[in-house]
Amino acid sequence: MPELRDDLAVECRGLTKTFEGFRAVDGIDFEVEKGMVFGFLGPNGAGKTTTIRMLSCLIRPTSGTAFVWGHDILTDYMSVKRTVGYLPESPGYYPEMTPVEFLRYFARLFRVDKSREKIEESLRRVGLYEERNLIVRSFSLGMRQRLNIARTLLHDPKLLVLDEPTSGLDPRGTREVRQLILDLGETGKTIFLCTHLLPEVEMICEKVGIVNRGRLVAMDTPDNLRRGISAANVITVELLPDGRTDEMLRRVESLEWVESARFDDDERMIVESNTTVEKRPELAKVLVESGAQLLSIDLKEPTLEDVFMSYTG
Amino acid sequence: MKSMSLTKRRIRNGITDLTSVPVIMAKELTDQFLSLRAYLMATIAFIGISFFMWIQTEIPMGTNPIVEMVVNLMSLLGLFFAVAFSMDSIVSERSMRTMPLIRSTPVSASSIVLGKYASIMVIWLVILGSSILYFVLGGSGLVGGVSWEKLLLGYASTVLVVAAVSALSIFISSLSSSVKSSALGSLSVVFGFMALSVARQLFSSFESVMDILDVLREVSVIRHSSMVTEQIFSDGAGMWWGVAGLLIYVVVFTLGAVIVVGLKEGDLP
Repeated sequence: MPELRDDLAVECRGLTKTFEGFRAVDGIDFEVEKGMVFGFLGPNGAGKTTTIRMLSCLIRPTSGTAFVWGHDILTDYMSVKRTVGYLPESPGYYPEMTPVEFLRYFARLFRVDKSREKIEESLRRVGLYEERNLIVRSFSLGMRQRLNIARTLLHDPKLLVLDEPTSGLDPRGTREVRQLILDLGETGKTIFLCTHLLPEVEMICEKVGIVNRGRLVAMDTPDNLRRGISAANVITVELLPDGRTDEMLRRVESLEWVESARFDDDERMIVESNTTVEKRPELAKVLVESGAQLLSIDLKEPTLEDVFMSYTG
Repeated sequence: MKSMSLTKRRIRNGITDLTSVPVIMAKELTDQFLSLRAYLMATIAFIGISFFMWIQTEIPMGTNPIVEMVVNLMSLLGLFFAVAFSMDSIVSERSMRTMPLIRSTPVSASSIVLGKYASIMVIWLVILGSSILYFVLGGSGLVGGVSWEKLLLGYASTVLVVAAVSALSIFISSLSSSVKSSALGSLSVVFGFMALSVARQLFSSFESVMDILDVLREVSVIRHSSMVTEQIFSDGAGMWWGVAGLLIYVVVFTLGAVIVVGLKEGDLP
């Protein structure tokens, strides 16, 4: 077995999970360095949640394994649980408890300091100190999410595993939770952020892994991933509305180097080519011949959404 | 060899680590004492005992029949207490989505099951203790003393009944995916066993049906509990068979619940 590296927070080796014959996670291998905010992306059902549930020792892999801070999730899972702070998507809560009671209960389960000072400090950190004696039933979704983030921090975990932490939140709640994650990242915590919200990843993450149909299909920094798909040459064409026709689209699509052509929501034509060779002059010629009145024709700067779409179809 | 030792290690961590039992038990006790259920059960017990004492003042019949009636009442009450307090014990953590939160802490499956189990037994002991006090204080004035041996043996038998039915009900709860299905499962089993004697009378002329009913009767928790309580007052030898039957229930279904929670929540291989 290869040596474990000291600088790694997470190391997956052929991690696989099968549910009744369906391979939800299919032999994933990847590494996340300590102190990094890592974004784990993928469409719904891609295997993101299954992967992080295995990393948090909530389910067992069918084959392969992973190491969290050097602890094997198969053999040393109690140590893994002490290392990881896990926030599930839509986490539960005890409606009749106050935040103080809720956190004290989990501090006891984690076998860490459950003193009032410590609990109140956790609540201050997530901005719930003033609400410390209200019952959780009266909390908004965002407040409950922040309470659960406080719960994940109780045992001062080295790795935070957050599954869709802003799911279902309103814009204000989303901003608060996002800021909290950024603050935690700045304190040196390693954060494993599982999401399908790409602006969140662009804002927060230093490195991104994209998973599709149970397999890891890309892994790099957001900038490198964007550069990686620039070869796809996404061309944006602005036209006057008068000359725009479906026939024009068909003619563009019939070009040998064109992968796809469509009008986007802003009524611009988006053309994806399969070559790195400059094709704008040729495209302009075809469009003008089709009766289009061109305003501009540019190479589009790929976004993380383009990266995501190109890897996940 | 490696997978063998891995399996052993996981089983050891999942089953023998009981360090969080008191934490889970304390939380459950707080919840239960804040809920109406425990007080409702205690009220029924006190009303029942008061009723028997009132009968005694109207138609004096000596101490033992009163003790027997009280023990039978507590035994029946214990049966429903056990179902009412156990049927949502595990499954409620799933329906509230708090199970993944608990399982993300270093808590074993056995701590979860036994913590909840212990809290149910403690509440029953509190109800029993206060009812003993009430009965003895009232009984000594009304019937001129109580047969301590019968009373304590009778009450001990109800502890065993509650332990057996709770274990069964927690096991059903651990298998269930909703509180409704767990409640339906637990109540069906208990009422099913209760209906066996009626069924035996109805189908007495059908030999093959009777064979099946006889087998079910042998494994019935109701039969075992009535074997114990009845024999206490008639000094019969069947009591120990009843005790053994109830103890088997406790061991088999508690272990079963630990294994199911361990398997479902990732502790066991």
